[in-house]
Amino acid sequence: MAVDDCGRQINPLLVQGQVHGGIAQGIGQAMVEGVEYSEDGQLLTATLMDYAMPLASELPVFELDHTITLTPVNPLGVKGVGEAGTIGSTPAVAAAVADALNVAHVDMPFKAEKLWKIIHQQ
Amino acid sequence: MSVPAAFDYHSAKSVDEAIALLQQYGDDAKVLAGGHSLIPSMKLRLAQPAHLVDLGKISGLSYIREESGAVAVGAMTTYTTIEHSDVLRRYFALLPEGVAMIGDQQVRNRGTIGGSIAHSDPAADLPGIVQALRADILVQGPNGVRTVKADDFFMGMFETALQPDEIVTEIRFAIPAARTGSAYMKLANKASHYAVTGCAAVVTLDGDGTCSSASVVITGASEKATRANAVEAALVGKKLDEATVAAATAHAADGLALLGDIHGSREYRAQMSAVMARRAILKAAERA
Repeated sequence: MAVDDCGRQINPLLVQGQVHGGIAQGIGQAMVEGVEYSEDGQLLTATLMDYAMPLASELPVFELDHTITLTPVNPLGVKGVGEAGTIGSTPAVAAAVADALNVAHVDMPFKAEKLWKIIHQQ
Repeated sequence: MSVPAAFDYHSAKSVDEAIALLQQYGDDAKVLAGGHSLIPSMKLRLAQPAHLVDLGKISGLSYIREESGAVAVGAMTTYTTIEHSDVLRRYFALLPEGVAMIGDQQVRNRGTIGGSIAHSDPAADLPGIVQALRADILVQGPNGVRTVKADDFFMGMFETALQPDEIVTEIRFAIPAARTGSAYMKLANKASHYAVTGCAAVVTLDGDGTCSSASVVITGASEKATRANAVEAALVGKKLDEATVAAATAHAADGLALLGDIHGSREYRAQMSAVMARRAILKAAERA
């Protein structure tokens, strides 16, 4: 569930698409995306065979809602919505992981092996 | 680097012509099947063949036929064709199940069974699956056709029993005994979907549910798909309940020269190999 406020929505379908994409981007950052280097500085995630991205098939159906608060600083009352979904989705996943593992903090991304190690250290 | 080095392209019209080209160009040539492993490695210039011999125009290498106690699959049969084959689904559940986990739909539409096993990528799914099914691999060279057992085919990382002038033409799977079940489970690399580790399992039960034979192969965890002999021995003669299978698979990765990289440390691969083996064997037993 994601609720956003981008002011006046001129094209609501486009707003939904931007929020969908932003949520996916934020979940990707939290779960799988990470640039990694070897000790001697070689980039190890140089292609999409090694750098993971979130896929639509791995994500849930999003339920969207919005409030509309017009901004007074431009005549249309519009605010940006590009990538707005990332603002909430990344910390939502991080909070869920911390809650599930009962720890205060885990560095992103939350790859399976990292969580496995935390679980087995406890 | 995103562009391959220069190479000459040869489109063979027959297996004999392809073999003649391989004889002519020797180590400078590579065989092109679906191209979904070779072309990416050429783009990274990990492979720089001077000559590419394309099998794509050869007719008659793509088929799935049930004949005299076996199912024969042509080397150029795509993953998608295998995934949707009724005859393969009926006898060898893990084969359609395993290929459905490869890459994405575009890859599965192009990638071939013969190409995958000839490439022998340690993280590929099919080397483990064909070994678990104890397939016969038909290999054609200048002196005709020979049969290589799947257990003898995979020699190491990107290394097989193929000679430089030989081509895989067919993979044959013996139709299993009654009450045989199979399954493939893998922990996939989230980027490439190759196996961080995977397990292909085939088990046969007798009348009272006792395991009479077991074939278990671990892929992805080490430099080649490897039979887990100790796991198999711990299953035969037993009822395959959860406790028995968990005990048998607890050390599934013992003896493997485990790989460790950004997608999984050695320690993680060892533990996940045990988990995949347990799940695959229990699923296979459920299907038997």
